[in-house]
Amino acid sequence: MNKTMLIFFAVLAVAVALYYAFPFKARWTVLLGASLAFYLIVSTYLAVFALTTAIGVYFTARAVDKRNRDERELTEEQEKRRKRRNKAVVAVTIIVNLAFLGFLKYFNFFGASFCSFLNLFGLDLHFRALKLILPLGISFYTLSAIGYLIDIHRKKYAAEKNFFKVLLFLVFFPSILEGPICRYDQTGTLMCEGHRADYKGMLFGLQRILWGLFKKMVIADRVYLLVRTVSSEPSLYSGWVSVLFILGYTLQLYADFSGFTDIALGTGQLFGIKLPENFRQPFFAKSAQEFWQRWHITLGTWLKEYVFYSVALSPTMMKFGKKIKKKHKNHFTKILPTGIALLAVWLCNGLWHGPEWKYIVYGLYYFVIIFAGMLCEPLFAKFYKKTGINSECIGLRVWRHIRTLLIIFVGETIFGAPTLTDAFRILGSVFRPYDGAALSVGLDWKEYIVLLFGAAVLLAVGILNERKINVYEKIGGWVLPARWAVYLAAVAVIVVFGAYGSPYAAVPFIYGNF
Amino acid sequence: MTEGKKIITGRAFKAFGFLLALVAMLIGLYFAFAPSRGGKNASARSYDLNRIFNERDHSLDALILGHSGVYAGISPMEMYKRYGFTSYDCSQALQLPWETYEILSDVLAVQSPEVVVVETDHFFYDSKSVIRRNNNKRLGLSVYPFYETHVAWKDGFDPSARNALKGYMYTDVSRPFKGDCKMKPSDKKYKLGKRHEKYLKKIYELCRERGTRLCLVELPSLVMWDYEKHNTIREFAETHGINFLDMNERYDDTGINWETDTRDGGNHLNYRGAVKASAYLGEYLKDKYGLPDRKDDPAYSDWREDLNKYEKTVR
Repeated sequence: MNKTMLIFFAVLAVAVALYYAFPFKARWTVLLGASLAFYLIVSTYLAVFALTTAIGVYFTARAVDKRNRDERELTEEQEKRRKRRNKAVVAVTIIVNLAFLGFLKYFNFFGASFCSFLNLFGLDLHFRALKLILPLGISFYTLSAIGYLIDIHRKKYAAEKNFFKVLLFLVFFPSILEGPICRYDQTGTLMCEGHRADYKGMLFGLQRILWGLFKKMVIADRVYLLVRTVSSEPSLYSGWVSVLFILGYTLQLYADFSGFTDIALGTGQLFGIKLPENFRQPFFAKSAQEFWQRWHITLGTWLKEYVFYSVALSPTMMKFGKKIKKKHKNHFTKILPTGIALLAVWLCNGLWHGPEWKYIVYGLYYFVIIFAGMLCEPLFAKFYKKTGINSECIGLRVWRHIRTLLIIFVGETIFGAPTLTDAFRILGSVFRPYDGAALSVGLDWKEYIVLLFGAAVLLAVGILNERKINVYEKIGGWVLPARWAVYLAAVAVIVVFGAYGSPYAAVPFIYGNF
Repeated sequence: MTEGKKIITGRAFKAFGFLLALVAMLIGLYFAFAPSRGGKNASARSYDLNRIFNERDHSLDALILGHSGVYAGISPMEMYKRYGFTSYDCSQALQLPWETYEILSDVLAVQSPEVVVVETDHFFYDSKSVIRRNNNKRLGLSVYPFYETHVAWKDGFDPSARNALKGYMYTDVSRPFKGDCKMKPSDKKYKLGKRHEKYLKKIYELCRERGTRLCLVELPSLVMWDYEKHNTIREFAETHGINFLDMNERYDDTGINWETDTRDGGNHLNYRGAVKASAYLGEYLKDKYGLPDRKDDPAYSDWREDLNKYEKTVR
C-alpha cells in the first residue's frame, strides 16, 4: 500500500459521507471537490495541465457543437468551410494535448533516440535529459479528452454546457489513477447525475474494493519481491528462476492492474456510478486478438474507435485500398488497409505505455502476431477442409489456449523486463539450468504458499465469472452469518497476509506510471 | 413505522453490527500479534526489532542501533559465525535518536551487553521532512499496529518466535554506485540539532549508568556521510573517551566494492557488502571489547540452530 492509495481512501471516505448528505442536484459537486482535492494533494501544481486540457477541450467542443447545430441553410461551399474549420479546431486542440503528453512523457526518449541516431553518422551529440514530472493520470485523461472531442466532432452527442462537469469527467478520482478510460456519453453523464444511496450497489461496491485489495496486496505486491530480485540483475538467473519471473510478472501485472480497476469500479459503485469494465478473464482467451478484447478493454476500444477507424476509414486509405485491390486481387491486398490501420493502433498502444523501445516492440509484437493470423486465415481454413480435421475439436481448443498463454508470457516479459535486451536475455535463459535454489529467489516457501493460495482464488473466481456466475451476487444471496463470515475472512486475509510493511515494499500501482 | 423506514433501520442495524464484528475481529488479531514485551512503545516499532525481546534474557554480547544502514549493512549472524559473540540489530528505517534511546532503555531492561554500538548518521537526521515522516510513521503504527506485526504469520502465528537473522534484513539486489568513492576532506563541523545532541548525550549516560560501553560506528555509505559529520562525531567521541569507527575511511580494509556491494547506488549495502562490513566490525569489537566466543557454549545451542536457518535464508 503506497501513500497515494492512503490519500485515495481518505478522500473516498470523506466523499461518500458528503455525497449522500448533499441534495441530489448538487451531489456531483462533491465528486468534483473530492477529485480536485485528490488531484491537488497528489500532483500539486501539476494540476495546471489537467485544468488546461479541460479548458481547451470544453471551449473547442462548445464551438464545434455550436457550428454542428447551426440550422441555417448553407451552400455547399459554406458547408465545406464549416467542416474544414471544425476539423482544424479539433485537430489543433488534439495536437496541443498530445504535445503536452508528448513533451512531458516522450521528450527525453525521442531526444536521446534522435541523438543516438545522428551519432551513427559520426556526429558527436550529447542529449541532456530534462527532469520532467508527469501529472497524475495524464495518459488516461488525455485519451478521455480526445475521445470526447472527437465524439462531439462526429455529432455523437451534444457538448456539455457546464465546464465543471467536463472537468469532473476528466479528473474523476476513481478513474484518474489507472483508468478505466471513460467515454462521456457512457460515464460522464452518470458522474453528473445525483444518485440515491443504493444499499445493494454499495454492498457490491465494497465487496469489489475488498477483492481489488486482495489482488493487489496479497498477490501483486507479494510476487513483486521475486520480480524485483530477478529484474535487478537478470544475467544472474536462468532456468526455473527465469520461468518463475515470466509467470510472476504476468501474474503481478494482472493482479495489480485489475486489482486497482476493481477498486476504481467498486468506488464508482459507492456513488451509484458504473464505470466500464477493463478486464474479462484475459487468460481464458484463445487467441492474441481475443486476449486484447479481454485485457485493458477500454484502451482497446478507445484505440479501435479513434485510431483504427480514423485511419481505416480515412479518404486516403479508402482510395489506396480500392487502388491495390484493382491491381492485385488477392487475400493480402484485401487485408492490407486493415493491416496498416492495425499497425497504427499497435504503435499507439506501445507508445502509450511509455517512452521506451521495449513498449514499442511490445506493441509491434502483437501487431505481427495478429496480422500474421489474419494473413494465414485462408490457409488454415483450406488445411482443415482438406484434412477433415474439426477446427473446434477439444485438442485444438486446448492447443489454442496454451499457444495464447505462451504468446502472453513472451509479451509480458518484453513489457516487464528492465530493458529489451534483458527481456531477450530472460527468455533465452529459460532452457539454461540454474545452479541455486530457484524457490528461494526473492520469496521463501511460506510466501509461495500464500501466493499459490491467492492465485488459486483468482483462478476460481475467473472460472466462475467465465461461466457467467456473478460472485458478488452469489455471496450477497447467502444467509447473513455466512455472508459476514466471508467478508470478515477477506479482511482478515488482507490484514494478515497482505504484503505490506516491513519486510515488504511499498509498491506503486504499475499502470499509475503510464 | 413505514415499510421503507423499517428497511432502512434494519440495514443500519446490520451495518452497525457488522462494524462491531469487524472491530472485534481486529482487536482479536491485535492481541494475537502484539509483542508481549518491549515497553510501552513496542507497537510503534518494527516487528523484527521487537523480536529482540524473544531472545533469552542477558544473552546478547552486543547491540547495534541506528537507522536502515544497520539492518542493511550489519549481519549479527555473520559476526557470530566468524567470532562467536552474540548481537542484535535494533534498527528501523528513518530511526531517530530519541527512538534509539527509547529502544535502548527497553532492551537494557532485559539484556546486559558488553558493548552498545550506535550508528552515527542518524544523529544528523534533522530535516523537518524526516522528522515529520518519522512522526507520521509512529502515529500510523499506533493507529494500525498490524502494519509491522502481521508478518508474525511467517512464524506460524507465534509472536514469541526468535528471529534467525537477528534484526538483519537480507537483500541481494545490486545497484552500483557511480562516481568518486573518496570523501572530500574538510575541517568543518556539522552542527548537531539540539534534540539530536541531547539524545546522543542521553544514550551515552544511559550506557554509563548500566555499565555497558558505548561505541560509535559509521557504516559504509557514500550518499549520506561526509567529513563534516565525521568531525562532529569524532569530537564527541574524543571528549567522552569512547571509540569511534568510521568505516568510510577504511574502504581498502573492509574490501567494500561499490560496484557490487550496494543495493541502491551507494546508500545502503546489500548482502555482499553486509558480509564484508560485518566481518570488519566483528573483528574490531572482538579486539577492542574482548567479546567471548560462544560457538561451543551449550547454553547457546539455540544460536547454532538460528545460524542454520540464517544460512538457508541467505544461501
